[in-house]
Amino acid sequence: MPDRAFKDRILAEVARRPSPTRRQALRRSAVLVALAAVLSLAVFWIRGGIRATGRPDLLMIGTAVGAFCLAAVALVLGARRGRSMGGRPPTVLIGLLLATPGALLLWKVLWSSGFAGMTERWPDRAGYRCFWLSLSMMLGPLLALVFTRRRTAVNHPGLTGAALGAGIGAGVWVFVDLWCPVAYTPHLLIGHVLPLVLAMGLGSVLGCWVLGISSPCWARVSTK
Amino acid sequence: MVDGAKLIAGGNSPAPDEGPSGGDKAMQRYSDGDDGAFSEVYDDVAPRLLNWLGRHTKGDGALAQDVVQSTLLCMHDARGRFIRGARVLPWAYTIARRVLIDALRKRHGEVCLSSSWIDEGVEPEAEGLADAADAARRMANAFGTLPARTQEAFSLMRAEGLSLKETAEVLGTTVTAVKLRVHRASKALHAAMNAVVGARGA
Repeated sequence: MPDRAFKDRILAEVARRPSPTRRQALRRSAVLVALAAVLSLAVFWIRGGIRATGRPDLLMIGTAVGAFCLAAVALVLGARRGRSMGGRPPTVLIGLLLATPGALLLWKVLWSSGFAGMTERWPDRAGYRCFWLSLSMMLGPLLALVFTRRRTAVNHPGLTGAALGAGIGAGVWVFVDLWCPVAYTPHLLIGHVLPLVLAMGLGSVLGCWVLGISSPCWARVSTK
Repeated sequence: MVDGAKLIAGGNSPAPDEGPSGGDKAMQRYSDGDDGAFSEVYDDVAPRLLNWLGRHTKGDGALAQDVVQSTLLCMHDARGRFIRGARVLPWAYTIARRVLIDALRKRHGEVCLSSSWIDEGVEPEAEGLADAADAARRMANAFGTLPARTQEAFSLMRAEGLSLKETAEVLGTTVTAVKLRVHRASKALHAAMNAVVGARGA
């Protein structure tokens, strides 16, 4: 049993260091994430917001609803830790990272292929505008979410950060999809999938430095 | 000291997944703003961590205390982000494990959370101190040949009494993976015990 002096020392240090309660932490997080979301939406509206650009209503509604459902799953799995302070198991996180880009791309292409001419190439739309729009919308929310979760991912900070990136990226996909009329696969790969993958990469790097409780997450345990 | 035979037989059986413990409830209250509750969290967590760390630091009391202190301060810093309904003990072990790995890496350049908890100092139950010491050595050798992750999983479940789910949480893996590792460790130790019994019978 540890001695009383040790306990007193720890309790004294704890009393000296301020630490927000759950309510205070929730309030701060909500404000930060809300500000980031508002900034992100502002970028979206400044660039033109929702644009039909000749797309049938059913096409737009179908891709939006499908993407929204996939994004909701990605956000819940990526952004929420479940019931355990250890976070989601690595198998769930890896599954999320592998499945999210493919699922979103597949839905977009499959649904659009049901409408004549909607998967044709647009010669002047290589995907770079969508790429920059996606990145600029993702950055704020990703930084906000990672910051609010600092020092909480003890076991897999890099993987957890990447999962946050996947969730945010999937959410931004829904908006960019409403803005962009092109469903040509090479365009989607450059303008929609690539930013999502970059968000995962950035999330992973941020996770290693911010989400872990100490040093870089590439520490290895040797077997003897 | 840890009795290897008891551990194989499940003498320190893992705790079933029951409702929240006193420490869990204390951490919930602490997270909600009851500053006095941290003393109860300490009482629930610190003795068990020190016991576990004593085995993994080869009796380095100062290091064990440093790790426990860092762990508890991490928990205090993160109190606002404690999930309602989460278990505090696996969280504490997870943090302590990570802090220990980092501390050992800084000291030694590499890290091995190894099998120091089964050693030749085990209290003899079999007749003859020499037989008991031999049995302990064989089991320690058998255990030492297992991968570090297998040793850790077995140690957390059998010596620390954590459940499958809690052990999986501490190690950051799945329940299935923990089951496999514990099964492998049990099998290796059973084989070592059978070898000891066989040698005596011959």
